[in-house]
Amino acid sequence: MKLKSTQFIIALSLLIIGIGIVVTTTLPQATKYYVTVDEFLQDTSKYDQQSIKLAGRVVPGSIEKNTQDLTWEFKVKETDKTVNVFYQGAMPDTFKDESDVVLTGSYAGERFVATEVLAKCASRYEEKLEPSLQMQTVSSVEKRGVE
Amino acid sequence: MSTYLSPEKLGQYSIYLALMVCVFGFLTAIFAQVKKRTVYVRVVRNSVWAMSLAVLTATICLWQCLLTGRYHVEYVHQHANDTMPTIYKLAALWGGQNGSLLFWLLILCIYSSVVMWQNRQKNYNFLPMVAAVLLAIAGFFLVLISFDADPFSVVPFSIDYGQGLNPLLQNYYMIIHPPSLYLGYVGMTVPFAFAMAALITGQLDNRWIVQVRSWTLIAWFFLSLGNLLGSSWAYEVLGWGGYWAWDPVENAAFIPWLTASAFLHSAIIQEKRGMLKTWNMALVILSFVMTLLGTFLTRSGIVSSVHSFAQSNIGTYFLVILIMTVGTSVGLLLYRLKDLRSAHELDAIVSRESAFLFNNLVLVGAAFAILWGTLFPVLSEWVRGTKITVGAPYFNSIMVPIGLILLFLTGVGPLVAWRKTSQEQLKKHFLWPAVFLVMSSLVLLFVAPKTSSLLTNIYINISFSLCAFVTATIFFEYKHGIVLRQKFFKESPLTALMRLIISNKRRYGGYIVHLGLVLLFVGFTGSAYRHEKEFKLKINQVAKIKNYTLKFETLYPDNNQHREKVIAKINVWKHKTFFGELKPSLIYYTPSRNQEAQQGTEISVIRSIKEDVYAAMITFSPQDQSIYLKIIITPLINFIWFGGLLLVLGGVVVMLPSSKEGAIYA
Repeated sequence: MKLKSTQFIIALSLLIIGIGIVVTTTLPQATKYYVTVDEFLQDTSKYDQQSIKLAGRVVPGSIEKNTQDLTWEFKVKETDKTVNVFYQGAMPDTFKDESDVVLTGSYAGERFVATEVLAKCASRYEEKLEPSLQMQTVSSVEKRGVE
Repeated sequence: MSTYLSPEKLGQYSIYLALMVCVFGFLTAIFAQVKKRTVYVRVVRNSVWAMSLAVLTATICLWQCLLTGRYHVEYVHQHANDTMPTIYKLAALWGGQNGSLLFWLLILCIYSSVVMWQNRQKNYNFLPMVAAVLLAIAGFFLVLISFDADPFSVVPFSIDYGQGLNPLLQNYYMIIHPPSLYLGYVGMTVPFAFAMAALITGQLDNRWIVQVRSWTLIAWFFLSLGNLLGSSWAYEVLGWGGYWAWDPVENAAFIPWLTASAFLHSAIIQEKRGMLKTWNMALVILSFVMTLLGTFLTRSGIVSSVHSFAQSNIGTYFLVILIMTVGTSVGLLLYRLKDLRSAHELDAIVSRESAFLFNNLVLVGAAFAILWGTLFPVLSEWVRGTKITVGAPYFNSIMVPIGLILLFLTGVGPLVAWRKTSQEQLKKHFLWPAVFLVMSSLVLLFVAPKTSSLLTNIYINISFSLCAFVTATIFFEYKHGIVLRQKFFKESPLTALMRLIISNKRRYGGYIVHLGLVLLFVGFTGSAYRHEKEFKLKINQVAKIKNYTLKFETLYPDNNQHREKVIAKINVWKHKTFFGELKPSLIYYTPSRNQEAQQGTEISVIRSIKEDVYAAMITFSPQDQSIYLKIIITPLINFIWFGGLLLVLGGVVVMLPSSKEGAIYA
C-alpha cells in the first residue's frame, strides 16, 4: 500500500478533525466567565449560581483573617464599588492590600465565595515611579539645595 | 556634572552603535547576496561580531549599574536594592521587562556570532541571507530597546535606594530558570534564519537541514531544561505542591518544545529519505513563530497569567513582527513549494517513516490544541465580547489521551524498519514488548490502587503498561546492540554499552531521551494519586494522613536582619517507624524603604522514590501556638525530576559532535 501526499493530507485533516472534536466538546466545560469587579456589578444576576473568575484589587485595610478556622474576608474593587469576598484556605504569599487578585468562585447573594485566590501582584514585579513619590524626592532634593 | 562617561550613558551609546552596525551589516548582507559577491561575507561577519560586542558592552553596563546601585536608572531602581546579594543583582538583568529584552538580544547576538564563526569557511552562498535574517531580528530588538523599552532610561533627580527584586524571586531558580528558557526560546531563531536563507536562495538541498537540526536540538535542550526547572521551582516555591498549571506563559514555552520535538524526528526522515521537505520547513517556521507569539502573549497582557509583566505597548511591536514573519515566511514557502517536492513516497503504512509521521501529527496536534486553549479567551472576547478563561481541566482532558498515543508511538517507532516492515520482523520485534504490555496491564489491574474515577483508573492502567512496554523496547534495542558488539569485538557488556552509545549517539542518545520520557510519564501518572489535606494543630497534637502520622513538636523563630522566620518542627512516622522531620516555615521579609512587608512560605519535603510528603505552614496563631498545615502526598513525583534529567542528558548525548556526521557533511 502506497501512502501519497494526498493521503497524508487526508490523515492530517482527520487528525485535526479528531482533535477539533475533542477540543470543542471539552472546551465549554472547562471555560468560565472572566469579569472585572465593575463588569460583575453591572449585572450580578447574569453570573448567578455559576462559577466565574472575578478580577479586582484588594481594598486596603479590608482584609480580616481568622487564624482559628483559616477564613478570610476582604473586599475587592476596580474603581469605586466593592464586592465582599469570603474565602477559606491557604493564601498565596503575594496576597495583601492592593494586590491584583483573580478569584474563582460564585456569588451567593451578598458575598462572593471564593474557592481559589490567585494574587498577581503585578505592581510589585514592575513598578513605575509613583508621581507622588517623584514629587517627594524632587522636593527633598530642592530642599537640600536651598539649605 | 561629572566628566567621565557613566555606565548608563555608555550602555545607551552602545545600543545606538549596535543598531547602526546592525543596519549596515543587514544592507551589506543583502548586497552580497544580490550581487553574488561573497567577498562581502567577511564584512557581514565582522558586522555581526561588532554588533554583538556592542550589545555585550551594553549588558555589562546594565550589570554595572545594578551592582553599584545607580538607582536613578529606572530599571535599577525597580529591580535592585542594596541588601540584595550580588548574584540576584546580576539576575535582576532578566527580572523585568526592559532588562530581559536586552538579555534576549544578548543571547541572540551570542548565537549569531557562533553561527558566523562556525560557517567562517563554508556555506558562503547562503550565509549572507542567514546573517540578514539574524540581523533583522536583532534589529527589531535594538529598535525596541532604543525607543520603547529602554533599560537605561534615567529619572532627572537623584534616588538613593531601589525597590529590589521581589523576595519570592530571590531564589536559586531565578538564576537558572529564566536564562535556560531564554536560551531555548531565542535558540529557535537560528534554525529559522537557516530555513529562510534556504527558501530565499533556493538552495534546498540537505545542507540547511543539517545546520537546522543541530541548532534546533540546542534550542530543544534548553527549552526542556527550562521547563523542567520551572516545574521544579513551582513545586518547591510557588505552586502549593503543583508543578504545572497550564498557565498561558507555561504553554507558550511548551508549544515550541512540541513543534521542535516534531521537527527533530521528521528531520531524520528528510536526511535519510529526502521526504517531508515542506513539512520540515513549516515546522521550523512554526517553532519560531510560536516563540514570537508566546512573547507577544506574555508581554502584551492580553491573557491573564501569573507571569504577568506590566501592560505595555511592546506587545504591539511583537504583533507587528509576528505578522511580518508569518507573511514573509508563508509567502516564501508557497513560492518554493515546487522545489520542496519529496524524493520518495511512503512505501508502507507500517514503516519507520509513517511511525515518525504519526508522531509528528500527534505532536503538532497537541501543540495546536494547547494553542487553541491558550488563545480561546482572546478569540472569545473578540468574537462574542465576553471574556472567559480556559482552565486546567481542558488541557488535562485533551493532553492525557494525546500523551498516551505519543508514549505508544515512542515504543513502536524504533521497532519498525525503514521503508517497510515485514510480518516476520514485526513478530520478532514486537513479541516481547507486547507480552510486557499485556502482563503489566493485567498485574496493574489487581495491584494499582483505584481512584474514584473509572476513566482515571483506565488511564493509569494504560499509562503504566505503556511505560513498561516502551522500557522493554528500549531495553531490547540496547540488548540487541550490546550482544552484537560482544560477538564481534569481544567486549565486556559495560564497554559494549558505552561504545554502542558513542558509535551512534543520535540513535542511542535518542533512546535515553525516550527513557526519560517514560519516567516523566510514570511521574505524571503518579500525580493522579495526589492526596492533600489541611490540618489545624496545637503543639503535641497529632495528624494522620494515609499511613503517615505527623506530630507537631514545636514552633521556634529564626531571625536575621533581612527577615523574620517562624519554623514549625513536625516529626513524621510511617506506620510505626520514624520517617523524618518536616520544618515548614513562614517568613516575613523586612520591608525596605517604601515597601510593604512581604510574606513568604518555605515548604518542607521528605522525598522518597515512592512518594513525597510535602508540608506547607499556611498560617500560625501566636495566641494559642497553633498552626495550619497543608500536607500533600504525591506518589512517584521524583520520577518527574529523574525523567526530566535523563531526557536532558539524552539530549546532551545526541548533541555531542559525531565524527561520522562530520565526515559526511564536512
